[in-house]
Amino acid sequence: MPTAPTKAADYTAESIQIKEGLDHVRARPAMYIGDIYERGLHHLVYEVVDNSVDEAMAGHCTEIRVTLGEDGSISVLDDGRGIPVGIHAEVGKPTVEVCLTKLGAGGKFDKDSYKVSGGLHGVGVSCVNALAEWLEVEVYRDEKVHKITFERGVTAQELIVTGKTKLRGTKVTFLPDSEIFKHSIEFKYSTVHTRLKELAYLNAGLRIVLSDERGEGKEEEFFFPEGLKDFVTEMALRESDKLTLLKPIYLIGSEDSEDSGGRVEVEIAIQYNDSYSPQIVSYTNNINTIEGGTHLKGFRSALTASLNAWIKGSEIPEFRKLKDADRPNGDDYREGLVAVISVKVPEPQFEGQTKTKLGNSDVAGIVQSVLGNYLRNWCEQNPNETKALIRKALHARMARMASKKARDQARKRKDILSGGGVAKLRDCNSKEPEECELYLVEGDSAGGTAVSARNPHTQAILPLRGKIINVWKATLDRVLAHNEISAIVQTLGTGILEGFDASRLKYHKIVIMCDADVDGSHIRTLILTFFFRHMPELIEQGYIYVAQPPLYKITYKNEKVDVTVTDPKTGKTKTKKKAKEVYFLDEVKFEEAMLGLGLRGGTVLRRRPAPGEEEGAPALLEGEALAAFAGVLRKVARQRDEVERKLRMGRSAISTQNTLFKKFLAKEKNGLLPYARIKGGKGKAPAVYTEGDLTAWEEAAITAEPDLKIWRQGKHPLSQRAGSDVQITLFRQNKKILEAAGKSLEQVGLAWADLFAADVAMGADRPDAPFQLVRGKETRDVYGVLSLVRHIRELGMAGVDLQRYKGLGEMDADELEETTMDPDLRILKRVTMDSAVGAHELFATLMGNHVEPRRDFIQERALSLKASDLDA
Amino acid sequence: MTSSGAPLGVCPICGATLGPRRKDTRPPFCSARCRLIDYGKWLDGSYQPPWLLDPEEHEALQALQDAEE
Repeated sequence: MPTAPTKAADYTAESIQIKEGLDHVRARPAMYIGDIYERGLHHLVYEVVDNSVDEAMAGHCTEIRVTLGEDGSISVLDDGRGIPVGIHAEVGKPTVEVCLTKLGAGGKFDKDSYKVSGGLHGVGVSCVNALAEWLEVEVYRDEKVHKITFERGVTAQELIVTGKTKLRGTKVTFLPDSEIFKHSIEFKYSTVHTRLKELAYLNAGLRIVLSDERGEGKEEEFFFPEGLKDFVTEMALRESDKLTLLKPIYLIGSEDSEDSGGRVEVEIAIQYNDSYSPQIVSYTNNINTIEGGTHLKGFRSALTASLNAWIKGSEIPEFRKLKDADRPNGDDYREGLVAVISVKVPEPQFEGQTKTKLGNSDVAGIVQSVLGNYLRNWCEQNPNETKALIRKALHARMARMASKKARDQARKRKDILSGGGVAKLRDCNSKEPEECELYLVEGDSAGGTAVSARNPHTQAILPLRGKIINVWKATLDRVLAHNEISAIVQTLGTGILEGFDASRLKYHKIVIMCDADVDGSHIRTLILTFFFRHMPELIEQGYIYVAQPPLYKITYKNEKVDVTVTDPKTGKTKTKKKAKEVYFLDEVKFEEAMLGLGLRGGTVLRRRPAPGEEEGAPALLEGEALAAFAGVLRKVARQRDEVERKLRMGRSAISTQNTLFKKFLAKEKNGLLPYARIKGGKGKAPAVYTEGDLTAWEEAAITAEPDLKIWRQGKHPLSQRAGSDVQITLFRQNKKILEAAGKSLEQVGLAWADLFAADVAMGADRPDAPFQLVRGKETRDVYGVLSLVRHIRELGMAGVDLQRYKGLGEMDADELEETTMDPDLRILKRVTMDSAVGAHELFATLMGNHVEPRRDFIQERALSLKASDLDA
Repeated sequence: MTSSGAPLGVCPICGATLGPRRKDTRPPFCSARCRLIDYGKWLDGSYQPPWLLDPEEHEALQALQDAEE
């Protein structure tokens, strides 16, 4: 509080004291009102208005009218009790005159009238008087109009009665002194507007009217019956139209405090919106404490402590599992927070540069206990909104952690740029992005092979850790964690998030090279999803490719081809003979090739001669007819696997027996083939045999349980499989394939039973195998025709070497080069946006937190995941 | 590959339905904030292949594959 030289009264004549006091204000105005510019000028208005607000806070005033006069003056009219006009006992002058001329008397001329006083930090209306060219007070009291005028703080016209009135209240009009405010004495409408509106919010039910008679003139009324609740709602809607709470949290409470000179009142309103920055305003005795202070401190700790206490006591698993360190902190809870904290303190202590920081230390504890008690109950009564607030804060926490990680990474990136580069990267020599290629290779060993196989001028290799079993912990190590992602981002050179810039890409071909197995496809899905989510521009611009490593190699031992070899030393080329090699990228083509090999040279299938019969019975099938038959059988075998797998998913046991399929075929004998598998739901119906049966089953199930969630393959594209009660998988291909098989069998005079004879006889060297496969001198016994495919393939094995690549690591550098890396020989698949979207969607199922849908999905796909399905 | 999983119209982080495209972000994220959170998850290794998330199931799957061969 600025010093007010009231002690001087003891030894100086009253009038002189007044004169000296006000002279001091005029000589050092900044000491009293802050400055002599815009801020100080408007302080004059606030000082007068605050006296009226004090009247309102004491319950005597309901309306304040502030008028900016045409002549540059301002007037403040209230309907309060009116400043007393009787003679002040000590001074012998009317109280109103004492208030206007004696420093420190303003505002609190009757201490018992007010519990607390706003007042401009208590400097009083006499300061305004001292700094006004003229000031006029009209008091409406006892049905009379009393009027007194001053010039520069000195009484110009003593208090007189000028008329009669029914009104009650006080009107103060003044013109600021341009000798003091040399810069300008013009009041700004918007500045006055802001403060008056704020006061109306802070004092629920108080009506404040602002009118401007200058220029075109205007008038506005501020009236907020809901006070702080209205305030917080308006503030929250400034930044966003999405509010988190249905209605603001609002409380008012109080506690006695000796240190603060009486009862401290606390009033708080809280809302949240979906913006990220908090808006918290705090007031002490209606003064905006811009620098905060103890009330704000108490508010913050109560908010964080209450919500975290609720988490701790929560029964909800997602919150219960959070450890202390995982809980949101104060910053997290303040994200999107909009709050108004208003305290009334009888003896406030202001600190800080602008004296707008509340210093009363006891207020922190008072706010904390009032708010803490209230929030505890509020959380109990509003569990859903509490959950929403906590989830919001947990999100804020995640973002905070993520941005810290991203910053750390950026810092490291700087070190790398100035230092050596990404540790595992084997960069290419060229710096022309157009010709540079980056191979992202699954696994260090394959990475090593790729380094040997590459063209070091244009091809860079970045090995990514694949599936590694950590021998020390006997656990699987994480893949694509911090180091891997950082390495990709750093190597590409594009930056990430807001800093991403596709034009800085250092390689215009980025080739994802993973093993052609299920694990490899998962890693590829991860990498593709990362690109889709964080660098979609690279996909759009066609920079991302998927390598197509082969699954098989057939080496023809007896066929030679010419290859041109360049001697690296002499540069001379010479032609060499080499065994013919053929690579296969997909299983289907490979099988076709193997069948073709087995059928070469007049292979025939014939019935085995009965004992005593002559060798050389006529062929049942040969040549193209045999090839076609084998093709049908192959499809039947695949379909058998498919049906078995789908049915197994309805059971827990994993088996490779043919029993289930045989059951189907038993049904088939009655003209029925399985149409769909039903998993889940009441009543056991693992398989139904017609579309009609399926529809009937569905209807019956829905009638019995209207809320039953049924997922049916292909039927409801938007329905979610995850979380459904019943899943229906169709055997679409069954009918067609098995019908074709039946026909083929019929044509050669065979029955369904002939298909499975193999299973019975497998392994036993029985003399009564019904069929014989014959090529030249070689014969093979065939017990069931379903195994025909295998036998034909085995015949084909003679004369060739077969290599199956289970992973990239099984290829040597030459093989890798000629299949996947040499630009003239390799096959690369450019990743389209559609396939990237597919990866992103699959990702959620495959890499998500929900075990069940993932299991279903993987089991359903696992066996049908042949190379041809490995499309990016 | 689209029969199950997250539909494209939904933010993979907060689950919000994507509205009109905003300047500071692009699908599949609803906001730059969610995109940042997602990036954090990549950095801290939260996204892992199924064999790490559910090793038991993965072993069963491997057995199935081996049996087939």
